[in-house]
Formats: sequence, C-alpha cells, structure tokens
Amino acid sequence: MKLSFEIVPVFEKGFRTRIYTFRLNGEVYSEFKKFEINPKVISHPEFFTLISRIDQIRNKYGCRMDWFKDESEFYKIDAIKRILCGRGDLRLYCIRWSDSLLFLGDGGIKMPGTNRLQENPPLLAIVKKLESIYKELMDCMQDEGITIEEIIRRYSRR
Amino acid sequence: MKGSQLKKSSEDILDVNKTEAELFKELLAKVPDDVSRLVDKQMAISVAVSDAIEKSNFKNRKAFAEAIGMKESMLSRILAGNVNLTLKTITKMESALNTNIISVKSFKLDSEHQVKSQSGLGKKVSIYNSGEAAIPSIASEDKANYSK
Repeated sequence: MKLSFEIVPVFEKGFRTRIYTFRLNGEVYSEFKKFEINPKVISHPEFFTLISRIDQIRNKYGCRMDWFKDESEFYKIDAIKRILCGRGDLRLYCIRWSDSLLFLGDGGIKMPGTNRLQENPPLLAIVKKLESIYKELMDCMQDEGITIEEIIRRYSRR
Repeated sequence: MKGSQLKKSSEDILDVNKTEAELFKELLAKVPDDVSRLVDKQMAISVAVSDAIEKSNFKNRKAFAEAIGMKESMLSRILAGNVNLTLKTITKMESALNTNIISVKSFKLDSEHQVKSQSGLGKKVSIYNSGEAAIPSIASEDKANYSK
C-alpha cells in the first residue's frame, strides 16, 4: 500500500515516548518542522513552555491523557489531540497513539476572539490533515494486517 | 512578499536544513531555566495528584473536586499541569488525599554565615537543621551584643 506521506522520526529513543512526525508527499518540510520554524510560533510567549512540555513527555512522564485535549473536528477521532500548554492561544496538534507513541503535527496561533476550530481555517486544515493521515494509517493496518510498529518500520525515513 | 519575509525570518532563527530532532534540541537549549523548572514541577504535581486520586477512596475525580470545594474544571487544569498552584491549594489536596504531594528539603547545615560582633571581627555561625542559628563559642558575647 502506498501512503500519501512518509513517517519522519523525531525521537525514536525517548525514555518514555517515541516521537514521530509526517512529511506529505511533494512537500519540503515535515508537519512538525513547519511548526518548529514558524517565526510567529517561535516568538509566542508560551513556545518555550510547550517545547519543555514535549521534552518532559518524551523523557519523563509519557503521554498522559491529562496533557492532551481532543481536537478531532469531523470524524471524532479520539487520537487527534493538541498538547495543552497554558491558557493561551498556541496550538500544536498531534496523534496521541498510545502512552508511549506520539505523532506530532503542525500547529499555529489561534485567531483572537475565536473559540471554535472552524473559525480558524489554517488550524482546521492542520487537524483535517491529521485526520486523513490517521485514517490512512488505520486503513493500512487493516488492509495489510500489520501493526503501527510495522508501518513505522516500513514507511519511515531512515 | 509576506511569505518570503516569514521564511527568511525563520531561517535567520533556525537552520531549516537541520533535522526535526536537531531543531528541537536547539530550541530546548534556549528554554529559560525557570521555565523548564516550572514545567517540570507542574507536570510532576499533576502526576502526583492524579495517581493519589486513583489510589484514594474517592469514587472519581469529580468526587475529589467536590470534597475539597474545587470546580471540576479547575482540577482538570491542575491535572493538565496548567496551573500556578498556591501552597494553600496543594495543602488542601494533600490533606484530602492524606499524602504528600510536594516535599521541601529539610534545612541542612549548608552554610556558614559571618556574624560581626561589636569589635568588628567576623565570627562564623553555623545554621542547623532546625533553622536556628547556633553560636557555640561566641554565644554569650554576641547575645549581649544582640540585646543592645
């Protein structure tokens, strides 16, 4: 089965959580790299808090449910989340596969005065992208009768 | 134009040719020490409270929140590691859960302070666990000085 993306390892050797991201076919940067190099994101006051939280999730505590918020808009996919960070407007979306496996997506800054994802088209697009990636992963597991670990082995960039 | 400016700006900050992990490590190195300490403590407290509630006799989180007069949404924020908690709130939770959520290192013999007597000579004073200053050999002399 051909996927429309490749899986890019970010940290495969985290003490508690392995972290990956996706690079869509035809795109230059992976989803998480887009976030890491987004100047608006980098200059956000809570950016370093978020980076620090990801590091703690990776090395110390794992992906505890309390630190994520459901964000799936259309398909209500439980695994589509954002990492909670302060009460601000910085968003980083992800697929929380398990307590120890996390796929980071892109994110951005919520537009002021809006509460719903639908009111933020750029963020909505990121979530939709993750939803479609998740569906592709599930289809691949089902069609080929393989686990997520096998998908990572087969479809990740080395 | 705007897009290219953004791109240039981000390239100034970080080398986009680096891998995601390299960029992350570069960013992590820039996290201010107080921020990483705060995040670590908030997340540690979140884990401690969550685990203590699970082990407690409270039926669920809602029951725990009600027992300590806290809104469930506030408890969720605490468990998300998103709150700058007061000692009062921490203590209230500790009391209800009958456990220690945080502990403070006991005050150890870790320093010697210079105490100046009236003669201007520096004399060493050790600080002990109790937090009291013990002034073994100069006690009577300095006691008189302090009372003046």
